[in-house]
Amino acid sequence: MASSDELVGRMLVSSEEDAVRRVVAAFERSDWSEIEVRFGALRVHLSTDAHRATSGPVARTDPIGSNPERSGSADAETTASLPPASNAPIDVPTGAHVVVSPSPGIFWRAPEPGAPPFIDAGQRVDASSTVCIVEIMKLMNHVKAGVAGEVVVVFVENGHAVEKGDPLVAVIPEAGGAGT
Amino acid sequence: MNRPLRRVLVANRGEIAVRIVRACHDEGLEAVVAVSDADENSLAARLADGVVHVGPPSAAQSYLRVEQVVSAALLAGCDAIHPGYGFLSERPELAEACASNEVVFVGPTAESIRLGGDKVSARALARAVGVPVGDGSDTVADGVAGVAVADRVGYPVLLKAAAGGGGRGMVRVDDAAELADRFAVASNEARAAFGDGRLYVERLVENARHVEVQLLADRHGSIVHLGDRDCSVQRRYQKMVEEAPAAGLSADMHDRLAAAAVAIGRELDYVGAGTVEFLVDLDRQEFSFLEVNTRVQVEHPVTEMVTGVDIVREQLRIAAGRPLSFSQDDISVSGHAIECRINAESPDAGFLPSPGALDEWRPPAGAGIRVDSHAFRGYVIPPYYDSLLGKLIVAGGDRVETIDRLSKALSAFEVRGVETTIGLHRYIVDHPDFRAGSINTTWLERVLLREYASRYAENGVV
Repeated sequence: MASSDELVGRMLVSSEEDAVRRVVAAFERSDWSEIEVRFGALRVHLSTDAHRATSGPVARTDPIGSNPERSGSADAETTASLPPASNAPIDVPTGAHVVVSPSPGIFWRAPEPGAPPFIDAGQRVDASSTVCIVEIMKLMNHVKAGVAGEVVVVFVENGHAVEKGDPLVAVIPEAGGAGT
Repeated sequence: MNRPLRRVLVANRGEIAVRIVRACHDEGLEAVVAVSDADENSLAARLADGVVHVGPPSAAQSYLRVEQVVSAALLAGCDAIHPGYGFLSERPELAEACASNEVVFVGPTAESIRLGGDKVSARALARAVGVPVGDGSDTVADGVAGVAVADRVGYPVLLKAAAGGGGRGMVRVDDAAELADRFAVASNEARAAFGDGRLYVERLVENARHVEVQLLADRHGSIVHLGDRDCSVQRRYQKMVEEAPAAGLSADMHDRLAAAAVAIGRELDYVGAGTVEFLVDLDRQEFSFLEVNTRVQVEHPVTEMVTGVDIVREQLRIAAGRPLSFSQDDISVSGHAIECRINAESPDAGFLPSPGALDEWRPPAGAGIRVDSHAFRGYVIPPYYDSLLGKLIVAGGDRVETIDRLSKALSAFEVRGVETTIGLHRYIVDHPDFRAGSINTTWLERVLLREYASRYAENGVV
């Protein structure tokens, strides 16, 4: 396999700059709000988000070779919004029932893009309430709460990958409520 | 017009990404594959000249984002994007974003994609060039209007989403009360799924075959067809077995289907590889237009096997502005070819998806046998995408020889670690109905899957 670094290497320095310039130009004349792409040592992250860019799009083109945190080199703002990695310790409130993922897949909080989420923290659910969808190979599995009670934590961010057994949602069961 | 390409971004994954990388190399082009974090070590990534990262595993955050794909092409110095099938392949926005960034889109114009993708406008276009469409209507405003149409054409009917297609956005209704009842829900579902709630009504043809015609058209006004394919073996409107040429049709029917497809392609000012799908009513011996697919199809290899044309290479040559190197008279269909889609799912457990590690992957080989796949021993099939693991395509001198060869090839196909549809395929191709060609679009679900399930129950095999 020829690595992307080799391909990047084959491009002259000027064409490397050209490539980045073309991405920035495309972004500026588009209605895109954010892009982040990586090609070998070239990485471009552009955003119209006021929190990230002080005025207009900002190009971040860190040569990754000089960055020790290769895959963790996302901007602090992005990193802060990421959910804990699947095997990282999580805080489960005392007495909470944790709904775990039935399979690996993609975690969805709403029945379709743009729709309101199935549940939110603070909301009351029945045992049969759908709390989320875990999509496996395009099959949408509705995951039930399993107990009646109050949702206290949603552990995973919408659209993120989950593994089988990952904690998804914590529910504090109602006093006297029947469990699973 | 003539613009030599140098480096192509493959904006897809799985077997079709492998297929496109190879076609690029055959054409002397460099191939860069767009990968999500889940596909960094895919076979396509290994075979390619480079990879460009387009986001996290979820397709909605990677392969389905026009801005990510176009930025990836620009950053990787690609002068063209091949979208494959699925994902962004039929999104006019990608073709437009390519055009405004001077990247060649390997496919038709945004306008053709839009016209072909809107089922109501495609129906109107077909009718305008004298191609029969299913009995039914253009967009109907509400349940009352829908019932009026259905009363005229006769029940059962399908309520179809104008923005649907590929088997999505269809509801069968059997009488007026049910239609009135289901209309609002179906419209809302269409709006949720496609952002467009328009519905139209079509008479349901219960004894029908799904037959489609492959087109290739260049930028110089030349359009040819590569014959037809039968894709009637379907489960939930998803194709499982496809063959070329379509079996059991008269020579006259083959000719009329081809002529209709070419007429529609011309009217669309079509460029690239495309397919026009038809329903052939077996009782009336009539055909009607279904839809246009403005991309390469999963089942394109069966056509390649009987015509000798490399459809993906032709796509790349057409995109570079080259004229077709053959005319209609140069195309002849010889022999027969059948494709089985090998999916990582369990037919014995309701087609439950079966991702995971491939402990063994030993595809069959030999004369007339082709396997298009991204699988290899040790590959871990990610849970995030569709279940297609590969396609077994077998060709022979005629349909009987092809089926015999296919049956042996399926028996020799060894996969361990995940569940697959290989065993079911063996059952299908050995079935007397399939061998006799006496099947229709409901046969798999109505007859075969029931027999398959009950045979297992009788034999006590798990």
